[in-house]
Amino acid sequence: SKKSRRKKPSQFWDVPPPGFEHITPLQYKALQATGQLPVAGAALP
Amino acid sequence: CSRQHNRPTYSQTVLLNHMYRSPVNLSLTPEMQRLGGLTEEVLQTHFDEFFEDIYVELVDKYGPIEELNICENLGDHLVGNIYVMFKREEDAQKAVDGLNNRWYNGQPIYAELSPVTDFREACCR
Repeated sequence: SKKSRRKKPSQFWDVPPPGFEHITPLQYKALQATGQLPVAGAALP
Repeated sequence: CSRQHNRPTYSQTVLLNHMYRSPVNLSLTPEMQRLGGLTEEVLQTHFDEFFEDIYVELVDKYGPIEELNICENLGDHLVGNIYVMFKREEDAQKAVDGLNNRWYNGQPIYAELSPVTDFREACCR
């Protein structure tokens, strides 16, 4: 298999928001788009 | 700027919207307080570690990168934007498709193709 350049595992990649481990990021964004979940940080386009 | 940006069908460049969250815009973590607050050094270390985390993952999973730019600009529509120019268009498309269904640090990733290829000339008018 391809050799990874990573020296240690990432603490951030593929970490879901607490409580949303059971849904996919696409489902999460769909909920944001319909106003059922807030969008964190700056306003998105 | 009208914010009506052109979204190309093919491009080597991927835009990751608002993905870098600078500590300048966040409340201090206990670790940062322990280090003495937001010194230049703390900010640079945070940025360098983030840059490496993004670069390594993108090269590993999607393909070789020509250029990686992370905006520290504080304008609403630019804050934390990451522009990744892949060597190959097909890798950029693969990255958009893959990243849009991944999390990073407790947030979904918002990826799209971007028309920008020359970052020195890139200017929002």
